[in-house]
Amino acid sequence: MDRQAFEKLALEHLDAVYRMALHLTRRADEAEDLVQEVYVKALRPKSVESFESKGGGMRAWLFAITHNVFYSKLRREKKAPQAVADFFDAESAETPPDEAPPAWDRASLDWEQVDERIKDAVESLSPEYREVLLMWGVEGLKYREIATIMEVPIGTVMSRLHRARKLVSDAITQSTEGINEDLGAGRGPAETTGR
Amino acid sequence: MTDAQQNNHDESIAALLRLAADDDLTPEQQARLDAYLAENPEDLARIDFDRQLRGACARAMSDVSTPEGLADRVRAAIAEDAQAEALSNLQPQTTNTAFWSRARDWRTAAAAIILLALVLGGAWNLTRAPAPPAWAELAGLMVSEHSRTYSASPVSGSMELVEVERACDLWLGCEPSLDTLLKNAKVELADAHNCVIGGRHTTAHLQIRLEGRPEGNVVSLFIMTIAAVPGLSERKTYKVDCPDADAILVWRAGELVYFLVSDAPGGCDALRAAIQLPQPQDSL
Repeated sequence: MDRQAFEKLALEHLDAVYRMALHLTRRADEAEDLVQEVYVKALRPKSVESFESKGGGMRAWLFAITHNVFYSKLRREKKAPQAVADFFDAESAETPPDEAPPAWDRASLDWEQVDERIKDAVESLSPEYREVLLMWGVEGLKYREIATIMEVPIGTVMSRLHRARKLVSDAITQSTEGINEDLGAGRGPAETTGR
Repeated sequence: MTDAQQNNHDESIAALLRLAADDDLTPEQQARLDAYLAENPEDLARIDFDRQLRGACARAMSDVSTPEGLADRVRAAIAEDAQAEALSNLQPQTTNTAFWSRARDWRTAAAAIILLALVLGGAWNLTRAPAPPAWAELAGLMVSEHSRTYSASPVSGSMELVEVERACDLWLGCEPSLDTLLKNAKVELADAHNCVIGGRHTTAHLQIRLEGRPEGNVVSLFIMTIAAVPGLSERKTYKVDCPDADAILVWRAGELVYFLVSDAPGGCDALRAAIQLPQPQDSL
C-alpha cells in the first residue's frame, strides 16, 4: 500500500482516535495534541512497516499507539520511571471478574434517563477505566482486542472492565434511587429538579 | 454434583459467558449457554443488564465532536515530520554500537589516517593551518543531535565509566580520562554511543544526568579529537552561544576536545559546576 493510501486509511479513524484521546486527556487541546502525535508516529516508515508485517485492524493499531503515547507522556511528566502497568490501581486486578453486580431491582431502571448520570460517572473514573469502557462500550471491541491494545492479559481487561462497570452502575444506582423515591411519592421530574 | 464437578461447571459457564461477550461462541456453545440461562434467570438478567449498560455507555461516551479542521492539522503535522526526518538523514548519523563489539578495523583506519596526516603535514603543527570550524554550525549540529537522541527514548540507564572509556578509545583513537573528569561529581553516565558530526568528525556522545535531578535533565558531552577542532588552548573554558539551547561549553584536554550541550536552561552550568570546570573565559 502506498503512503498516501495508508494515510487516507488511517485518517478514516480520526473521529474514533480523537474520541479516545479526549476521554483519556479530558481536555480538548491536549486531546488534539495527542491525536497529532499519534498520527505522526503512525505514519513514520518504521511504523507503517510494523503495521503491515503484523496485520490486524487499523483502528485497533491506532488505539494501541494512542494508549502508548498517552501513558508514556504521563510517565515522563511524572518524572519517575514507571512501567505502564504500575499506573493502574492494584485493586482493579483483584476484583473477581464474575462477581455479581449489586442486587437491586434492575427492572425499574429506565436506561433512557441515565445517560447524563453515566456521563458524570464516566468523567469521575480514572483514565484506565474510561479507556477500557470506551473500547468495550463505544468501539465494541472484544476482550482480546482490548488486551492487545493495552498490552495486558485478557484477565486484566476483564478485571478492569468489571470494576469500571461496577463503578458506573453503582453511581447510576445511587442516582436513580433518588429519582425512584420521587416518582414513587408522586413527584414528577420538574419538582425533583426544583428541589 | 461433587465440588470438583461444580467448580469445573462454574468455570465452564464463566468461560462461555466471556466468549458470549465477544460473540465468539460456536453454535454448540451457544446452545449450551442458552440451556443454562433458561434455568438461571439471575444470570440471564445480569447479561441483559450488561448489554443495556454497554448501550448506555456507548450513547454517553460517543457524544464527542471532532474539532473542525483537525484532519488538515494532522496532515500538516505528518508532512512536517516527514520533512524533518528527511533533513535529519543529512545530519549526524548515530550508531548505537555496543562498546565491546566495535570492529578493530576502525582503529586501524584511524591510525592510518593519523599517520597519513603526520606524513603529509609534518606532525601536528601543519605549515598550512586548517580552516577553523564554523562554531555556529558545529553547535547547531550538536544541539540537534542532543535533542534527537534524547527525545528518541528516555534516558534512564546507567553505564560503567571504564566501559565507556574503552569504547571512546576505539572510536577516537584516544582514551578520555572520564574517571578524572567525573570522579568527584555526583553524576550518572546514562548512555554513550558514537556519531559523526558534520559528516566527517567521529565523535563520542555521552549522556550524563546529575544524580537526584529529574529524569529529564540530561546533558550531552561530545568528545572529538583535536584534529577536528584545532586552535583551542588547554586550561581554558570556551563558550559557544547557541539560540536553540543553553550555551555550549568547550574545553580541550590533551588530544581531545569536550563539548557540553544542554537544551535546559542552566543545564550546562549545573554540570560544569559539578565537574569543577572553570567558568568560560572566552567565546567562540
